[in-house]
Amino acid sequence: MYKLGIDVGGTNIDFAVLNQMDNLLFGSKTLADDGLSSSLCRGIKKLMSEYDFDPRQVSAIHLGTTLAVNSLLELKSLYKVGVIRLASHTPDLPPAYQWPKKHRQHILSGFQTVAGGREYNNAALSPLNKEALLHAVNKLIAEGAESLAIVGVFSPFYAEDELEAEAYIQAHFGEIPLSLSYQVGGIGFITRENSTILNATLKKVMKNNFHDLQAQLNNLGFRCPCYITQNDGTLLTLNEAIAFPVRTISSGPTNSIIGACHLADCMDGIVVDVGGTSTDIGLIQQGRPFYSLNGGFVSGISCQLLIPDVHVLAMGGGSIIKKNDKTYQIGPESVGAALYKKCRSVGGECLTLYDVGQVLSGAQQIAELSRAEAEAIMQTYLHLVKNEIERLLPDVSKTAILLVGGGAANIPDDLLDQRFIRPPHYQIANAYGAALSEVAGKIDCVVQFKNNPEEEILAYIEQAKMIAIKKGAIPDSLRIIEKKVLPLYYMPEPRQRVLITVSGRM
Amino acid sequence: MNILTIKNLDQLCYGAALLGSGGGGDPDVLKDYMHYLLNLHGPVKIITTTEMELDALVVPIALIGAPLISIERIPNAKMFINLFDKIQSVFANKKIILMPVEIGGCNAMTPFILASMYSLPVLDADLIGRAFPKINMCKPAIMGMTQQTAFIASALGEVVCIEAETMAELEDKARTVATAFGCSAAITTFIFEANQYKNYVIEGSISRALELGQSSQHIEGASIIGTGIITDVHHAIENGFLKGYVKICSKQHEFMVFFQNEYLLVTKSNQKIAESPTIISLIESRSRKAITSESLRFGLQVDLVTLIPPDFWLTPKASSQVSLRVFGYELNDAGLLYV
Repeated sequence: MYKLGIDVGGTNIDFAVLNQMDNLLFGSKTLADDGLSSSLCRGIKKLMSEYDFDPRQVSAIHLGTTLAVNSLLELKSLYKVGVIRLASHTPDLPPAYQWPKKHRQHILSGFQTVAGGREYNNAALSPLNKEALLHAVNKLIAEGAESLAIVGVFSPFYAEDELEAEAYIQAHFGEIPLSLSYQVGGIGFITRENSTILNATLKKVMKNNFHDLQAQLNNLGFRCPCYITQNDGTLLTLNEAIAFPVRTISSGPTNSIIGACHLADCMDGIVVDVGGTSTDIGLIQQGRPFYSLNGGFVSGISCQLLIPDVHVLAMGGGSIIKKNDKTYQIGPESVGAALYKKCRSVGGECLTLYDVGQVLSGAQQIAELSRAEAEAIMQTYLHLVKNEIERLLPDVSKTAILLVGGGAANIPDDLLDQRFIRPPHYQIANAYGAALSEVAGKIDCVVQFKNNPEEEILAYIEQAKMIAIKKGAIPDSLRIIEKKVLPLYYMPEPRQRVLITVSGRM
Repeated sequence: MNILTIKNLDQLCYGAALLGSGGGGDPDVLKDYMHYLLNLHGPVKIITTTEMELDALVVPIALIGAPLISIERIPNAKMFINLFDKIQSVFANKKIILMPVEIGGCNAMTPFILASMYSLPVLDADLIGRAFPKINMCKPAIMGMTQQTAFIASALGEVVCIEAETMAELEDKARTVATAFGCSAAITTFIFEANQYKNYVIEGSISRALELGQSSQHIEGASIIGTGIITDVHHAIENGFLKGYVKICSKQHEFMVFFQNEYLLVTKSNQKIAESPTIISLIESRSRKAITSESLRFGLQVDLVTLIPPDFWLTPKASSQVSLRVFGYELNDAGLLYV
């Protein structure tokens, strides 16, 4: 049996086929130039014809995608969102106050405050006012809301009001997409509200791309479920991914970092992932992405999401190069998935970083680009990459730099110093990382410890393990990836928030 | 005269975070809301003691409760408005000047919320000059004041007045009321006539925060006493306070930072190198953010930074009230004994 990892990027779709021991057997790349499903079909047929690959022999598909984050960057395929706050009073600070203006205008259609919500000790601030709720939803829909975000005060501890609102809205309004904040984030009203609004708006792109994905895969001969990778390197079912798109928002960098680490067998260092339109530079800490304190920003919006601390340069293999006097400007425009139609190497109009690589490797000769010029452009690019790396870590003189991604093929070895490592199969590190994604069991609750906190925590860990095993994790492979006991202090009867995540191989 | 605008708001937040010495809550929690108010009502005047009208009343403002609860409330001014209404009815016809109780942490923001809504000035001073956890660590209490009145207001409209004989009693009752008010309430205490300011205030606190906040790369007057990676964080709650220690390792040294909300003591290879009332900050190397004790995390790369406390804390009388012994730490020759 095999495991199939798929990475759906803006330019390419990559495939990695693994055996039961998680060794990479073979992989392939295909352009993502005609919609997700047809590109996917073409890629899988290519795998079948090039290798002895039989979809019936695949036990699980792990698909990682940047669909969600790309639609936010481009402000495409997004629902208009109406926000319903369940709170005791009309608050001053409106939703999305500190968002970039174009995101706020494009995504938020309106907001309403309805009496509801809880205190920290589960006392109702005021009972949920259903009549006001009905009125609020009518108003939001009239203002153009296509998807609703419901955010109740203290809902991560006490979700009753949000659930009651959901049931009531579904009974009266049928199918309108709903996102409940307690399922998206933890304590911290504004940041949880931001995550919930993003979740509500992203439901459109997920639904459009994923609603018939399983059926298409079945048509290709697969007999196994397709999972979507999420931000922390664990898996979601397809339905979960459609319901909680924000959980996939940073899975791209997560997959490439985990994939690069395992391909290079190097657990600390820096990953440079060169794609078609961007170069992502991230820090590895013990085989996992590093999360900084001021992380959690998506398109300038502060969220409660696990976002790896990744620096993005808007330059990749497809970036268009312009010459200004004696300097070169690389990107931010990219030919994207039309690379092999528009680049100079195939007679197209645009000079790209890919063409520069072709000249440097001797594979192509381009009249207006001498070898010396090509080298100067590549040095400019590498200089910018190294600057970013130095911003990431103060002292990088001895740090391993793992070079991965399809665009990394353009960079010749003789321009790289000895810190750079190009692991085997570096071009499909991301798909390999997706295939390595694990299943997780999570516990997130507020408790009051009795006599023996250590013992109680152990019991929660066991509970989390049972959840993971139920989802298909191999018991022996389970390990704890998050164990946090956060005191809620200044209270007479101290409570603690217990956050446990265990994860293991499928 | 200085002013607070949306332009220097970030400076005030960053400086207040540094002066928090790890405690006082993260000022960024109130930053968006403050930005909103400044946008709506315009800048707030920050006046010095020489610019005060001496018959005015100075009202120190703070949040009392659990920071975690505050971040779950939708930012709003209700509790501060309720508090202010009460003060205005008790002290009718008095001109009011606002002031933070403590400049360290999110309490640096609280007087500005009311000041912007009611166009009131804020005095460039506070009662502590940094952050400390208890009411009896405010300057007037250290100067010997005992009997005191406090007003506490909730977001839902309740206001309680506490009259206490001792600071300990005031502290106890205020915490009890704050808990009953949903663990997040607005408080004012040590209200005084402007002409009494010498006994009450630490001057220049707000301008110090603004100066410190000018650059996160080169913090004015800060000494870097160590740098390393957080390898262990130990949190526990005792009597409602967050206590613990954090271990920071560099290639050569192991640092330990002990905290009770605020960072109070730093040891380097078991030798004490900084202690309360010196202001101790941990700054994440990557983001340059000053890390509060509740957001300490394994694996962060940090600079350990000290700032000198206001002169007031350097007098023997004052420093003895916030010494390591007061916080329950004992040091011996062999190294450290943690009580």
